[in-house]
Amino acid sequence: MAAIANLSDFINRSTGGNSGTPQDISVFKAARIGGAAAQLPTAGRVQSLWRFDGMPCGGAVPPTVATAPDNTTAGAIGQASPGGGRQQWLTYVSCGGLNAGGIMIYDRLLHISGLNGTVVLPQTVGGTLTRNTGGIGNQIWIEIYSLIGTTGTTVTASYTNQAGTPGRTTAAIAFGGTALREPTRLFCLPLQAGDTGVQSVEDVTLAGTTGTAGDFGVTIMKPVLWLPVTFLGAGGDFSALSKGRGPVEIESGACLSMFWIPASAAAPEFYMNLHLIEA
Amino acid sequence: MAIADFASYKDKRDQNNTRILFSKIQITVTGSRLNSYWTALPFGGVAPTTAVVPDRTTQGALHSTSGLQMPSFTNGRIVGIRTEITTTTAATSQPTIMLCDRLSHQGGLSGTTVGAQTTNLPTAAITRGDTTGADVWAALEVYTALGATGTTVSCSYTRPDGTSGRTTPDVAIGATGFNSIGRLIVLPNQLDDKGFRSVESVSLAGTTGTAGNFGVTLFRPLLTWTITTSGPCEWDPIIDNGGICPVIPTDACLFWCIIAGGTPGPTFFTEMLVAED
Repeated sequence: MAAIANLSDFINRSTGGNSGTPQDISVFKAARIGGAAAQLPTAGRVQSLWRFDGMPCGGAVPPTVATAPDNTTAGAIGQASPGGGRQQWLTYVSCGGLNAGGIMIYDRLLHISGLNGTVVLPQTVGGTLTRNTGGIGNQIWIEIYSLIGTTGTTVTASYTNQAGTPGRTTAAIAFGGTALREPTRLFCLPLQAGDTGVQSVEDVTLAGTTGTAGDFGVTIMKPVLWLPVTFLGAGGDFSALSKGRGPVEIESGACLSMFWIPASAAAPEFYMNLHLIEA
Repeated sequence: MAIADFASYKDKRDQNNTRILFSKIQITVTGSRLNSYWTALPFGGVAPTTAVVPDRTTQGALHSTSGLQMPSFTNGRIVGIRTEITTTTAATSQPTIMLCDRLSHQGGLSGTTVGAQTTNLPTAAITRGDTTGADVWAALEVYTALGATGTTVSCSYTRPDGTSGRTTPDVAIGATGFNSIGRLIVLPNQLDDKGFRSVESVSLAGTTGTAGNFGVTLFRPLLTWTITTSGPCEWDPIIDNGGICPVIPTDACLFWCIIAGGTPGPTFFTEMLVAED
């Protein structure tokens, strides 16, 4: 991994010198999907912003075969890939908007839809990662694209961990029923004890039917930056030199997207700005 | 041209710069949504009619408080912003601010006309920055209040590669939150698009109940930052904004967009440091 040598180098690259290739990306996301009002969030529960309309455009429902999206996939924030073998770094994010809560910026490594809320046999996921293929830090999430059933059950996944060991099993989490069935809901599947990441997901299994097929999928993601959005209007920000953590590595081709943990059940709306440089 | 090192940066911040002074007095805003300070006093802009490209000389563009126009910079780069911000409401009215280049605008659209409106459209061709429209935002800007009936609106536009006939997904217009003066209703891109070259028509699905006056504004955000305290604030672009020292396009029509936690929005007294390469 290439480094930013010092403050002078940071300034020089941030203003376009030494192949710093700075990028400023402005993002707007509204609580609408394909022109229709999006599902309202549930306070304290995770909501995916992948499909939210905005600038850039919202993403489509993923294919029914596991696919590795990248920075050119519609719905991604869409930063240009670094050139010349350089490393890309995220140095600034600001976010203001309608609600308080927190935003996670993540790299969407692999996704699939078309899974069924009534099937109790293992449902195949598969696919191959193209970034962070070693798996450390990767997480498994269940993402709902259309309403599943009102009957509560649980879901688990069988996966290969960061050491390449297959047949690992996540803890079971609640699935189906009120607040656990709506489109845009995201559920993180806890890894088996001792695991620190995921190379692949073989399948997911429902313990029982939710009563409605709906459409859900699996998303493998790597968290990039957690941004508390503390204030109405003013929101919150991250700056590499003033927030105590330094620049954040962005893998080449990363499919940057966001999810949201709202403090209230109101429809969100966001305005963001990101700054990236290369070294 | 890039800034070579810390010594050069410090020199540009301390002395080798042009200090641009301006103020904007608080206006009524829609809380926590995007608002334009285009018409805010002093030297507030007026509602446009025909499609035109505003620039630094257009009334409403950020001027100095003495009425002097923004200089015509060549590769002018923002290296500092000092702002005294005053608010009359609770701390939650502190805003997120977007400094934008207003690339093209028009007005005269009605909140009661259902179906495609082409009055004063298409928008005037962009002349600054990437003129294909890459990363350009489009918004509907309310100049006279629209009605209390909520409906939706979409636009037909041309995307940066020149493909026309693209359609924005529906967004809300009219009713509380989407009808007040100064409100900027951002239009999303259609799937696969990244920007707006021009907008050809605007279509309301229903009437808002009041004609009002709104228009299409094409703009490019240059810098966004958050203000979490009132009073004097200073931003070092390197320290506080992660290295963003945006270049001001020559003759840019700079204006504020504000996301304030409550209404009214804040009053600003601002000193912006611009250094030319």
